[in-house]
Amino acid sequence: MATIRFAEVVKSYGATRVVDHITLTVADGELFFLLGPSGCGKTTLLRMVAGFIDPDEGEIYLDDRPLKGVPPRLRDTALVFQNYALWPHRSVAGNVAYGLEVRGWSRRQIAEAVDKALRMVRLEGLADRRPMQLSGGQQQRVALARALVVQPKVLLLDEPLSNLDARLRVEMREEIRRIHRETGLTMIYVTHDQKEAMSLADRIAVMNQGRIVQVGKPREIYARPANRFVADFMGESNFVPGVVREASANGCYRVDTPLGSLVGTPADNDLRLNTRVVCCIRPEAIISDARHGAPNVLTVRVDQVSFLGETVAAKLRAGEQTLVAVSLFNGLHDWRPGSEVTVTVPEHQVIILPE
Amino acid sequence: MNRLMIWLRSQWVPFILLAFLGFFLLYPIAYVVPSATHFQQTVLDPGGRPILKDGQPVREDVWTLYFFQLLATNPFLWRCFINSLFIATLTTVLTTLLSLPLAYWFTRLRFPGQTVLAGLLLVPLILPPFVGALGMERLLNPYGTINLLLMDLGLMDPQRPFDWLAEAGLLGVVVLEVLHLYPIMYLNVAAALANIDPTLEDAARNLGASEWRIFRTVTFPLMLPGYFAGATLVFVWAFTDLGTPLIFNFSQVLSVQIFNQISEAQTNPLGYALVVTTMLVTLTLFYLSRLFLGRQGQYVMMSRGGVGSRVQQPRGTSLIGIYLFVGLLGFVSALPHLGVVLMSVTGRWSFTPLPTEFSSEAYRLVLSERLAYTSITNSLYYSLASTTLDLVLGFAIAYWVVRRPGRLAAFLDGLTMLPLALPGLVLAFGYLTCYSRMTLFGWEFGKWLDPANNPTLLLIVAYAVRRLPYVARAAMAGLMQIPPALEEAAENLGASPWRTLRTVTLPLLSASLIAGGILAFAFAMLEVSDSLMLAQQERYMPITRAIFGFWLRPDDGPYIASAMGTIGMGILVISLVLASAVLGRRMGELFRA
Repeated sequence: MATIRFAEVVKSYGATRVVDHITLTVADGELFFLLGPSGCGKTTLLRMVAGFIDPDEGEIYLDDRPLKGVPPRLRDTALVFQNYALWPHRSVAGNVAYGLEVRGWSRRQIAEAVDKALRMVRLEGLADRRPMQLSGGQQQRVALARALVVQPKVLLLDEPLSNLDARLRVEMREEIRRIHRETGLTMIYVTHDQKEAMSLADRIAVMNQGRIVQVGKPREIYARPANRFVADFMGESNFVPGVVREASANGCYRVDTPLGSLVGTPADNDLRLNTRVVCCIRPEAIISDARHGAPNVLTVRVDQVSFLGETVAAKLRAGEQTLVAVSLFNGLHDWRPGSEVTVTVPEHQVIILPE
Repeated sequence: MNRLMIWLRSQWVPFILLAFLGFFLLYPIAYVVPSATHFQQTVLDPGGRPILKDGQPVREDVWTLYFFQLLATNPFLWRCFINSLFIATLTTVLTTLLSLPLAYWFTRLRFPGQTVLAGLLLVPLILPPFVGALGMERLLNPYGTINLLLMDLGLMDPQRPFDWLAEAGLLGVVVLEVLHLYPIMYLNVAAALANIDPTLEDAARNLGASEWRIFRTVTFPLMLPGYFAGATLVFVWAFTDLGTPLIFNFSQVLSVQIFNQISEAQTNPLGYALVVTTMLVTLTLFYLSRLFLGRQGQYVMMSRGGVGSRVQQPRGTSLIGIYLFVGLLGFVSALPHLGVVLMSVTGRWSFTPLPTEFSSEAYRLVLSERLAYTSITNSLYYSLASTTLDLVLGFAIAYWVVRRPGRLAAFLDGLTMLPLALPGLVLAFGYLTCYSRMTLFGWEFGKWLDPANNPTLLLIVAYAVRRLPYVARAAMAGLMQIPPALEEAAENLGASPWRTLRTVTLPLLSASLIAGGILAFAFAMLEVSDSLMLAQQERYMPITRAIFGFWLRPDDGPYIASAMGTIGMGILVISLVLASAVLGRRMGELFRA
């Protein structure tokens, strides 16, 4: 049982405010992601929970207990470091045992717990190795075991997969998902990789310049980004500028754009007429078949087609505006550079964002 | 007041360190400077008689720069000053000429036996010139080995031998300094060369530059900071070395003149003036080299994957040339010390190039001479104590500088490195008198710090302060290799700061600390200027002071001195072999400015 609550947390270094009035609650047992570009303050926030950095203002609560003034060693917040921080002078077992030695466990209890923890991360049999003799993925597992074995209230993960190659990263994602399921721990996970966040998270907080821009479930954030930054960060997008003209059916609005008139769904509800907006269209929302009479039918010229394996990307041009469209390999294969095609974007996939 | 207490509580470690360095480093310097311009004289009446008050002559303070003027106006002192400058300059130039090719070969070429030879190059560093001078004297005196060999070959008239030391004592000093100091220059230049990204040279080569042009326009400018660092150390070392000229009985240098002023240190400002002059020269030099380093430090060198593109393997004559050069250099630099060893086992050695009879008499005498025995145990005791002090201080300073950077840490760092620029003579001269009359609330603790009374504490502190830069630097280098996350991980798992230190930081740092400690120990064992100046009574003398004492004694004195020198070198060699075994190739990092 552990919830983490940030209340108006502020941290500045000199004139730069790296964490700017963050208020946020992480629920018990949640796998919560802090996602953002480098320098957005996410790691600072995580290290504040661990106690390595003190907030200038505001407070962090662990189960309603304020953490101010509590030294890191008394916080019960195990951290998995970005570079693992395994002690080279200790064996794998020695690394994992450390936190239990500190807690004064008996030798026998420690041996059992270490054994169990190493089984949990599937490293049984490597207990006597030195960390330097292990591969990156194995080191990552040792770091996880070392943090898990002390049965912390919260598990903090600081870009844990950023030093692994792509294939291993996907594998370790599954490991973390499994461990989360088996332990039911509250976890805060920091990353700049939106795929990692979307594939694992219960909820995500997208951060930019020290602030939280949007909090929500992965699908919500992808489908309904709060602004242009989130839309851009959570995957590729086409942005088409325009002016809101009139409300249409189903809470949709009509927007005048260089592509002509587009019907779309607003990201937030108080949209005023005749204001400047940006329409966000995901590449996969551009569908090649043309349904007559439906809104958002566009005639475009195919500039370039790139084959990417399971998907195909096309660069489309309509007047001055270029659009990127992506579909599964089977969808666009008949498009030829130079040809003119008709495409459609469903109304709910044109997202109207404030400019 | 409250804020002061909070500050003190959070900063007590650097506060203690600063207090220690302030008291034992800054205060003696601060004491020396005014002492050079100030003395007391008895007030005379117009008739030339002292004015008495309460039966005591009245004394007045006199402030003057006269003693600095004296340096320029007194032809003898001026000659000493010029000699010292000349020795230092020539030593720097010659070590440069020796080191440049060596550094190039050992960083840019790969050849068999390289590691062993690179180790051999460092040997002279551990053979103290003070001891080497004993052997050199034996080789070079009018009926020494060199002249006798020349006479045997018919190249010299036995009736009129050439006195190398009398007619070129200065050159003898220079030769010995060069042979002792070229490894320092080599280490610095080699490190600078190794740091230069070879692709920078490849880029010039690719644009059509000749090898000489590349050296002149790319390599040399990039290695200048490292070169200056080494040159400064060598210059200061040669400028202020006391032991070598003393053994050669070549007194026309500043260091020996300062040494001769010890007995008048209480009354005559001349010694202080000479010390301040020495200090000004070395500090100016260090400041200039820092200017160079500071300006060039902005380069970010060594791009990734830039290694190995310019490794050549010399063959045939060029390889033989390298072996010959290094071998000959090693032989020549060890020659004086071989002479010492030879002398220590000599039974009979007169008018022949080499001894005709061997005996262990000198070593028997060492065991029977009370002074020899006590000085060896004294030295071991002083060195162990100062090494311990160095390790504690060095680690604390390194931890603060690396883990808590800030203005306080930067100041601490600068203060710790100051002894590199500060000749041993300066501190020793300050130590002579600066504490002796201190009291604290009526408690005359100064007498514990008065070398005339008991120099033990001062010698330990002096050795420690002088070698602190090396230990602190070793600890800093080690600490920088340890990511802070390793310590945070321990804290995160519940370890107290003390436990973190004990179970994570210290074990990871042990190699660096051991190496730094052994080095500090080795240098303390054969330290010259503090030992010669501070130890005045026989029962407190360290080994170097005893060697000097024996050297001046007629008959068997030089043989006992040689035997003790050999023992000292033995201890030194053992400790440095241990140090290099622990530290490996990183040993060079300790000798850079």
